[in-house]
Amino acid sequence: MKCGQGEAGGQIVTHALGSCIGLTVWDPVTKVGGMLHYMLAQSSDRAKAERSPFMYATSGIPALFREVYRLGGTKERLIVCAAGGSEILDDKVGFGIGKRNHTMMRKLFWKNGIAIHAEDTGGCHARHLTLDLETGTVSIRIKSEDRILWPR
Amino acid sequence: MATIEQILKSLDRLPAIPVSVTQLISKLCAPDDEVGGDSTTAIVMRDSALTADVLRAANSAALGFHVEATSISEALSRVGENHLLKIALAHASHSALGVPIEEYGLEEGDAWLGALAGAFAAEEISKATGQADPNVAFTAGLLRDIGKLAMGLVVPPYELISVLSVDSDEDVITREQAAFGFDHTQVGAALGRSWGLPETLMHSIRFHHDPPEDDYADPLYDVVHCGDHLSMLLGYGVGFDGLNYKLHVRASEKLGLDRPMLEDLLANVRLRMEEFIEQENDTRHTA
Repeated sequence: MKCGQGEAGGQIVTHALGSCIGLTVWDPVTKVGGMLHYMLAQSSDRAKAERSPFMYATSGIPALFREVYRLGGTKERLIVCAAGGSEILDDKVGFGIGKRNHTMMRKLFWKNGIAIHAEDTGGCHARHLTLDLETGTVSIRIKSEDRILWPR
Repeated sequence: MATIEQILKSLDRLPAIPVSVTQLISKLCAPDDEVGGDSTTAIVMRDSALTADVLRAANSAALGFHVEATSISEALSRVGENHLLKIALAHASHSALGVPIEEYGLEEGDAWLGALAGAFAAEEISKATGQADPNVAFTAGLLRDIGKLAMGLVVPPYELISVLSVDSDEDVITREQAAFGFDHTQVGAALGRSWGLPETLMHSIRFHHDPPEDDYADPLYDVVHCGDHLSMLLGYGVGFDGLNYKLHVRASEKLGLDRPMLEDLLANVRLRMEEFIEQENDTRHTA
C-alpha cells in the first residue's frame, strides 16, 4: 500500500496485476490519494493477516481508507477505481481467486456505502495500474496499450 | 521437416547460460548420495559478481544474523548448502533469464521475476504436498519458460506477437501449435538440451503446461505446472500472453490442492518474492 499527496509528477504504480486487485482512492480537493495491491479476499490465518495486512482485502482496504483519511482525504469526495481480478483461462478447478477478490471488495464497499467510479476487472489479462496524485488520473496498461480509466 | 533441435542448431546465436548456472543446477539436482564436481563455494567464488550477490543475500536482514559473513564458506556454514545453492542459482540466472522478451511483452527483468516466482511456487508446493524433491522443483520452476527466450528466433517475431496479442478463447499453447506446429515448451526443451540440462529438467520444461498421465507421469511435472499457475495468478512474468493457459484439474487433484491450501501457498510465494526483491533493491542501493 502507498499513499501520498499530489505534487507534479507524483505517481503510484503497480505492475502486473494478475488475480490481485489494484485499488486507488483520491480526493480531488486535498489531492490526497493511495493505492492498495491486494492478493486474496481474506486470510484464514489471523497471524498472517496481522503480519501482512495489505495482502488481504478485509484488512488492506480498511487500512487504505484509514491512511487516506489520516492524510486529509474525505470519504464523500473520494474517487475510487479498481483494476485486476483476472482468472486463469478455463478455470475448471474453480479456485476463482480473482473473482473472490472482486466480490469481497464489492461487499466491503456496499456495507460501507462507497461507490466505485471506474473499474477494469476480470478476463485473463495482466494489467499495470497507475494513479497520478496531482490530477487523480488513473490509467491501466494491457498488452502495452495504455488507457485512461478515470476521468472517463 | 526440420526438428526444433535442427532449427536451433542452424541459428547463428542462441540464448546462452553461464557455466556457473549449469554447475549449480547439476549440484542442486544431483541425488543426495551422488557427490562430485566442484564445491558450491568454488563455483560461486569463480564469479566475483556472483560472490558479492550471494554474500549480500546471506547477510540480509531477513536471515537475522548480527555479524556479517565475509566469505562464501562462512555464508555456507550459516545458511546451509541447499539454501546457498538456491541463492546462488537465483542470482546467477539473472543474466540469462532477465533479458527483455519483446515478443511476449516482457521488459527487462520481468521474465526473471516470473522464473523466480515459479521456482518459489514449485518449491512451496513440493514441500506442502510432499511430492517431488523441493530442490529439483525449485530448479525446474526456475527454468520452465526458457522456451520464450528462443521462440522469437525460431519463428518470425511479428507473427508470434500477433498470435499472443489477439483476443481469443483458446489458450496460448493451442494458439502457438496452430500457428507454428510447435509451442514454447518444445522450444524450451530443445534449448535445455543444447544447454546440457539434466533429462528431468528438460521433461519438466516440456510438460509444464500439459503434465502427462501415461508412463511419463511424474509428480514433478504436476508440481511445476501448478507452480506456473501460482506465478501467473500473482502477476509475475505475465506479458501479452496474460493468464491464457489451462490449469489441468488432474494435476491439482493429484497434488491434493484445494483453495485454502492454494491461498496459503500464494501468500508464502508473495512474501518470498517481496523479501527477494527487497534484498535486490538493497543490493542495488549499496552497490
